[in-house]
Amino acid sequence: MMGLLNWLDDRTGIRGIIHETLYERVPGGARWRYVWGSTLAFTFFVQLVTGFFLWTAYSPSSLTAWESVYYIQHEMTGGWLLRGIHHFTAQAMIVLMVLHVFQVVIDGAYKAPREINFWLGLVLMLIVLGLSLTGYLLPWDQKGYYGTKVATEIAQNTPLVGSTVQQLLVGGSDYGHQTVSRFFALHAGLLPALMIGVLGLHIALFRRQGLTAKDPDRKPDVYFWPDQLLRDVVACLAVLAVILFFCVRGAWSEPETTGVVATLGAELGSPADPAVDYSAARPEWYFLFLFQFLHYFGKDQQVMASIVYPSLVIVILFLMPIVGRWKLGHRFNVVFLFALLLGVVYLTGRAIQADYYPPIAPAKPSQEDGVAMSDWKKEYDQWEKEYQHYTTFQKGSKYEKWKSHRAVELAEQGIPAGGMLELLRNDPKTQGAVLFKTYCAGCHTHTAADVDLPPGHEFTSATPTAANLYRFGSYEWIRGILDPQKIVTSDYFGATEAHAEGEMVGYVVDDMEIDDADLVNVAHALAADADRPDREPVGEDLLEAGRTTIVEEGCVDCHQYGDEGDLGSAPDLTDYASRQWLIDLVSNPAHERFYEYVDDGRRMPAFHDSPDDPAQNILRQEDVELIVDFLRGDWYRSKHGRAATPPPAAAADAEAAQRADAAAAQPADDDVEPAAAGKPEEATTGEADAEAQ
Amino acid sequence: MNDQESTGEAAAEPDIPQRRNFFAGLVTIILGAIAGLVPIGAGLAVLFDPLRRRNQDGRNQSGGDFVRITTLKMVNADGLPQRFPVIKDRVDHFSRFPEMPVGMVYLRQTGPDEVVAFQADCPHLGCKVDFLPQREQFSCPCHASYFELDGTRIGASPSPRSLDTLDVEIRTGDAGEAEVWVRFEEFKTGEATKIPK
Repeated sequence: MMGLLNWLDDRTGIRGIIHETLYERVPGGARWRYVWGSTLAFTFFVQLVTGFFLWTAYSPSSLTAWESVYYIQHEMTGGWLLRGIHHFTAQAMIVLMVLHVFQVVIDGAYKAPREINFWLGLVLMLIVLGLSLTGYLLPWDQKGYYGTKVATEIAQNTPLVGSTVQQLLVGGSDYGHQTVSRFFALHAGLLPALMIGVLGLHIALFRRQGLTAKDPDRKPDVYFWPDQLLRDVVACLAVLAVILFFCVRGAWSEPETTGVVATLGAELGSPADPAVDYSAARPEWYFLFLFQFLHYFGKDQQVMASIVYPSLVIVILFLMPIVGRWKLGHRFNVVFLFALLLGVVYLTGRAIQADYYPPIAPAKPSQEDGVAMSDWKKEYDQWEKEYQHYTTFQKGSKYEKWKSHRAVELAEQGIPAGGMLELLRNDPKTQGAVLFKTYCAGCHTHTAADVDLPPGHEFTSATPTAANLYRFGSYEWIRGILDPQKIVTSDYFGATEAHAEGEMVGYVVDDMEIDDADLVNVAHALAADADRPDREPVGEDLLEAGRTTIVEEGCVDCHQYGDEGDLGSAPDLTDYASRQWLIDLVSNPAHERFYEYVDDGRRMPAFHDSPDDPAQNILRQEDVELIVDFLRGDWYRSKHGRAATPPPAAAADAEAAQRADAAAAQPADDDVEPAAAGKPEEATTGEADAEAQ
Repeated sequence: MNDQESTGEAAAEPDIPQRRNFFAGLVTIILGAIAGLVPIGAGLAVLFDPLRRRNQDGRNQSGGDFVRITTLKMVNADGLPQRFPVIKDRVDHFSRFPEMPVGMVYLRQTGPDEVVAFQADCPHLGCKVDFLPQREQFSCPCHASYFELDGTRIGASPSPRSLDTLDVEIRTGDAGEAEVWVRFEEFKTGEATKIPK
């Protein structure tokens, strides 16, 4: 053994190297205040290791970045832990860096002959910030996409070179494949290589110049090994413990606000979509102060606020060793650093307050006092201007949270080659809701406590001019239209121009002579044809009875139903509200099967009436199908409960159960036989349970 | 390289004429530079490719053709702006996506046959602006820029200009229905005037 070591030492001088490494003198004894540099080196080591392993699973392109990160996070063994450690260590590095800089400046460790090493340290700081900025984009989720988009747009505003720099960073004028690959090359290639080089120099110079002892005569000198190294290792472990705590923190959070698996480790938002806005776009927390800083500057000051002032701060930091030559200069440096920290903390606090904890709006004074009133108005306007954002941000982040859960749920089926966006854009629950909002919600409402809808997509219209389509085609909906009290409300025909005083309303209100038990059967029979996925089966005898009633009690006088009745005076009841029926109706309501008899101006628009000439249609065939599937609640439901619970789900379940009770109570009020009345209750609570698992 | 070796070399310094020494040094530097620059040059050519491409191919270039957004009937008659997706073929380097949503516009009916279109991207830093019906204003969720119904920027907004309007044409489709067509363009952010990207 000794022989081998001697042989090696002869050729490499290894003993000397090891000795030099471990037997560095620590004047004044080992101290806890010297550990920050070592913890930083340790976190960098953690990032290299975890980064390398993430690299083995990450795939940098706009079609695979989110998808591969999803796979790491939700499918691969220990993936969430690896990602979590990398994510939170990055943040720990920022905090440790700040501590390190403070320690160095307070102790005056930047003074001659250590100026160059101080500058190298600042360069390392800039590299770390660069690593953070480039890493934020790599998961290619909405948060990273829009956060980074703002950052590169700021880069573009740099005088002279800005536009070129932005083009080079983004890899063109649009965000895409090369944005990911370029950011990745910087994040995993250039910046770490620079970091290793500069860090090597930083440590070498530190060793050459020795430690700046705060108080060299405090205690006898010791060597780095083992006294100081022990303290360093303990500090590193403490840092690691904090990082691990953040990784598993999600396990204790309340399940109704967060899905369990999804919040272990780092967050993954919904996939980046340039066509969908993200009103909760914010940078990572340690850049929030810069974000907030921009708010205080008008349009002519933006370049100053986003580029010039921050650069000035960095220049002042670089000048510190020179300024620090004078006694007063050193004091200035320390005061400047604390003032800077104070400013950063204040701005960060303001940014967080505006997004999460806005102050309560100023109370309206009583009517009599005119002066107070105008004062209040002024005050209120100011408040609204400052905190209007709160609502937008909350709405945006709630929706984003919902969508990221939905994306994970959908990804269970396997992601198509076209990427996660393709899956999401073809999901009725997500995209159908968006389309409904754009194209249908101008007239129709779609409400009634369905909190499971994507947040921001509960369509309550103050002035609806068409029916409430919530659970259209369900037993409850159909039963409602046959109810004299309900058909006249705005949930049905009450608000429509064409039908409010139409024949159907007249018939149901005045002329209908079908007793309630038969109406229940009719509703069940029609709902069976509609065949919503959430329909609970009903006995065949009830359906048969319902069908007979439709034919024998006058429905077919106006409607066609199978072979009975004729088209032209009322919509076709054959397969009423079924998928195909709805697609046909939405595509062309002017068809004789539907509302040909209604005047042109009062009928809903035809959304896809020229299949042969796609350019003529308001909506594409796929879009019509998405809207129809959305209305019918016909979408993918998670097979595992895993990570499937959207944030508002607990509330939704409670509401759904309530609705179920109400729905169940309603036929019972109508004196129907208990068997039929009991069914819907089971149906809806059953579904609620399934969703909650 | 240990100390002994280097002192040994120094002791036996060869006697070479100055001029030859200079010449050899120059050649070394030139040859070394060539060897180093070739791979760097090849790399830079690829790195700078997007700059060259910007002006050459207009695959995603904004401007140019009008895109059909919707029918006139679908635009609110009450003059409140409404958001529509812009569906267009999109190319992302080597991937081609037919008929993809590539952006958003706000359409606002200002007369019987008159529609104004706004690019939904905020002129400040490109976030998508929101419309607040209760205030009848546009607001940018990122840095609190506000805009009037007609797109004019309000007071202290950080946005350097009002919302970007886009060219609109009302065309009649084959079925006789009036349609809204918009020339979809993207503009540089942070500039006082509209400069196409």
